[in-house]
Amino acid sequence: MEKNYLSGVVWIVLASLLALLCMFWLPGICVGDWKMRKVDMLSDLRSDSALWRLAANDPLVAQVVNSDYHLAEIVDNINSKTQVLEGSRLTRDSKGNVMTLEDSIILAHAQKTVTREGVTSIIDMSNGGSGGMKAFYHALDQAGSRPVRIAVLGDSFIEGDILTSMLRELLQQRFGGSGAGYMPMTSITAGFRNTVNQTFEGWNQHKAVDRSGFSDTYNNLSGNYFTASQGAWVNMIGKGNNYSRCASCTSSSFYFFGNTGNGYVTAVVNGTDTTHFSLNTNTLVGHATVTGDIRSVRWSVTNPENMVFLGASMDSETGVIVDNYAMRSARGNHISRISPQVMSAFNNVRHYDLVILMYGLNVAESNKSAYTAYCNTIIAAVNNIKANMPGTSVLIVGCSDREERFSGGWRTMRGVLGLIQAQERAAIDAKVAFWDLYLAMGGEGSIVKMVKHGEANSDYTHINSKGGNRIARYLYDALMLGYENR
Amino acid sequence: MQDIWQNILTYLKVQFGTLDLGKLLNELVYDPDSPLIFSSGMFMCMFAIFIVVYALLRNKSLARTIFVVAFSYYFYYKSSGIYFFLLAVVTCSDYIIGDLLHNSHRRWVRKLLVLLSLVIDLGMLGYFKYTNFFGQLWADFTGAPWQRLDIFLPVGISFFTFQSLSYIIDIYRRKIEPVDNLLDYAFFVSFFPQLVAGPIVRASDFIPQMYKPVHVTRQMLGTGFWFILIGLFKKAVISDYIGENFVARVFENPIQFTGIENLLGAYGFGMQIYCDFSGYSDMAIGLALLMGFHFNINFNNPYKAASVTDFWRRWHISLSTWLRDYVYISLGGNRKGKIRQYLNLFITMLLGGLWHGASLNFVFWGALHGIALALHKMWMTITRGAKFVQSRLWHVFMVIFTFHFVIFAWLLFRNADITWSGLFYNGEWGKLGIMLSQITTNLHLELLPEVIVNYRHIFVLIALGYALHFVPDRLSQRCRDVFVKMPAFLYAVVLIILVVVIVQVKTSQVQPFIYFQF
Repeated sequence: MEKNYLSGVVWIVLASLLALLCMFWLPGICVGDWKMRKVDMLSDLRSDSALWRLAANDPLVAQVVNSDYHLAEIVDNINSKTQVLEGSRLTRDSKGNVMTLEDSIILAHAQKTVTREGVTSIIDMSNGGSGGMKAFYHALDQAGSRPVRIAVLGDSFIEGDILTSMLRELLQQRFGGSGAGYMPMTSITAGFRNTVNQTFEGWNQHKAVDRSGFSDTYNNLSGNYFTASQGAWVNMIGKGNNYSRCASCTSSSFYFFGNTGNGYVTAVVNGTDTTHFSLNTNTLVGHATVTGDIRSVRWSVTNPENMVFLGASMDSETGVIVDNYAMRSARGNHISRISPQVMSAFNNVRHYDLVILMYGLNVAESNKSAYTAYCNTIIAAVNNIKANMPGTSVLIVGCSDREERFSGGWRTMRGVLGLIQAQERAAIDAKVAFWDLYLAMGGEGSIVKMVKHGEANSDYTHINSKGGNRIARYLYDALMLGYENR
Repeated sequence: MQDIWQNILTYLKVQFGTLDLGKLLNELVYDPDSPLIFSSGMFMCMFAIFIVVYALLRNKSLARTIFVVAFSYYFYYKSSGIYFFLLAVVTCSDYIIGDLLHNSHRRWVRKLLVLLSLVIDLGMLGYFKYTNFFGQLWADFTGAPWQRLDIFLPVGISFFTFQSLSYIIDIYRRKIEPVDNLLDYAFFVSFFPQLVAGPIVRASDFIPQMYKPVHVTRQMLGTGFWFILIGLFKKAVISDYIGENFVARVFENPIQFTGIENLLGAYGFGMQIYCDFSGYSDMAIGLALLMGFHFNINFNNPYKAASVTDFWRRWHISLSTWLRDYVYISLGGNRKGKIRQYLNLFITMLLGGLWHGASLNFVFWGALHGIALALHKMWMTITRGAKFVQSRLWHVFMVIFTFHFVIFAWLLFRNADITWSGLFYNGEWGKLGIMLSQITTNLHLELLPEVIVNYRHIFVLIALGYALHFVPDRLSQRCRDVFVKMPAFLYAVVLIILVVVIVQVKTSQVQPFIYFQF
């Protein structure tokens, strides 16, 4: 009978396991830029706190920890009672708790800004000056008699009216108002927008994020403008299934550059009522507006040669209006390039009481900790808004949680933490308000939880509409906290 | 010298001082989020302990059987908690029914006994897996509200109920004798390598092996490691990486991607599901071999199939043969005329679809394959004797055609958001509809080079997967022979290298979205 190799199985399995366990001791191997990751068969059984405790008490261990575990460099804004342990990036607070420098920074910040009810408050750095939240809170008091408009400028994080849809719904439920607000003539995400069914044809889009085909002469808050072919149209039908206030609205406007040509625009409301408007106005930014009980509206242009168009809206004449200005891959640097003339001309036809800047995901890099240049970009953007849109509050929202892999699992991309600090610094320097979205989401690991609960995509970066609804509530709570304490 | 000792001591401190006993305990108890899967480090550690004890008990048949059953129940408990009692219910009831069935000779009694087993096994499967599905379907038809019940789906329930049913039906058909005692039957039902994800092992294949002494030949040793390594590579390198970094994102939010990305996502899913499923089966087959058990292969390069019929002879073979032997043949198979045969095929595949999961998309997926199988049967009747179907060119065409049909059907398989009401009142196909419309109206073929360059790691793996898949059978057989003949210590070396690679892949950065950025 042939030999039984069962013991062979045992030896091979044991030898492999032993060798793999010993690999924990191998120093990191680098080939060019690529660094081999540590093989740690017991990684599931380790806890960071045990590691930090060990490292705090033993300088040799601390050295190993420092060379093997790569901690990003963010040394700023640390609580004065916390002591940085020599030779390591660990800290010990007054109670003797040992944690990483990053964690202690986050903790110190969190203690400052989260209220006892768990609301992450908006920090207004304006001291009551222009650009601060005061103007907006004051405007909310007038929501019964005039439209109070909010522009939310951002990137793919909010495209398709994610987050803004629920923010709008909550504000409109409290302060009145209806309609999904402003939208550019075309959108790549029109297909999954839950607040409006937008269809269009005949428009040629020019985007600020494109390398060519975009002229700053027509640059505006949305970062895009359109040229049109004869008969180009955009059709908007309110959707009320998920966000009841968007089902219908009381006015709809069509925005264009007024001194560019001689065409006219036709509005068809609810499929029947037709109105024509001349596009020949003598203002820089012109608009045509229809009112009534509007469930659907179709705007189409005739003789649009040489003309430049912006977008159309579904609004109400009182209450709160929230406009979603999402542009994929945007960083917010187009705002400082908008000409003062366009900025104030648009403000004349569509005045905003609050502009929210929600950028960052396209800026954060894995291991970059200093974002001085970006901080200056945002300051320039805010200054442009403040100079040409008097009476408008500005709120800078910090970058959301974005996770990266490391040997023990997931963690917030270290660059995100540095970026948030730069964004807060921009708010301080430009004297406007700041809201720490990362903190509001729950900080470290929050998007991992959201992925698990079906609220975010598995790129550990983007939220979906369910996640957007959750975050919108956080922002709404923060705004209302500020409003109540105005 | 002192320095070296100091260093070793420090490393030992880091290695063992950072272990958290609380976490170890957590790892050992049931956690729905971390089942014990073959490609985890935890499983490797446990299997090492298991195989030592198993080898020590090689000549003590009773103790060994008890040990394996206990380990298997623990393995099941790790992924399904308290629901391991279901295993015991199926085991006890079918053991008793099997014995009664063997000893009774009256036709109606025997039929009643089979029916009883069906009611127990399928009743359990139905309750745990399909209650909410049929409840919702009923609500959609009648308009009555349906409150979703909070029912836990025990892992692998579809596998072990089918496995146990095969035992009863085979005894009924007098193909096998019942096992000697309850413990042996528990061993068959709970044997951990195939317990949670197949292959579905037949009683007639497995039970005779249980009564032989444990014997691992040199061939089995090599083949076992070969299957484990191949399976690990498919599951932990190809499937996990392309799934997480590309495929899942496209299917999650197809509108964010151009048609070309959606199309590549579909091809990617074809590779992902194959590598995931067949990789897991391969590991099960390999583990069983190392314990002295032979399983039949479960996948045989399915995308090489030149027809749907051929595909089902190559894909999840243990399920398709099970369905053929116990459903299709029970329905009458091809013995009742052509029309009935087509209908039987359709019904079998419809049920097969539903077996994969309790939602409408699986039903449609099964139905689509059922229709395709019936059409292919007709086609074969029509073209019997025709010359062109035997030509090489036709064969190549049919492989490509079948592949694309299967990929198309996978889109149905993967998109679970199709609802009855959405479909029939609004004609909404959910994300499937979006994907198809992106592919047909928004393809952007010109972006292909850019997409491929930017996602190069993913497409290298997908291409590698397909390339390995289409390697001629003779060549892959030769590779396996060479591997088996290698000195045994080299198996350990290859295993170590593969684990190091897996660690690199597992902890690598998430590939960022590229073309459209954020």
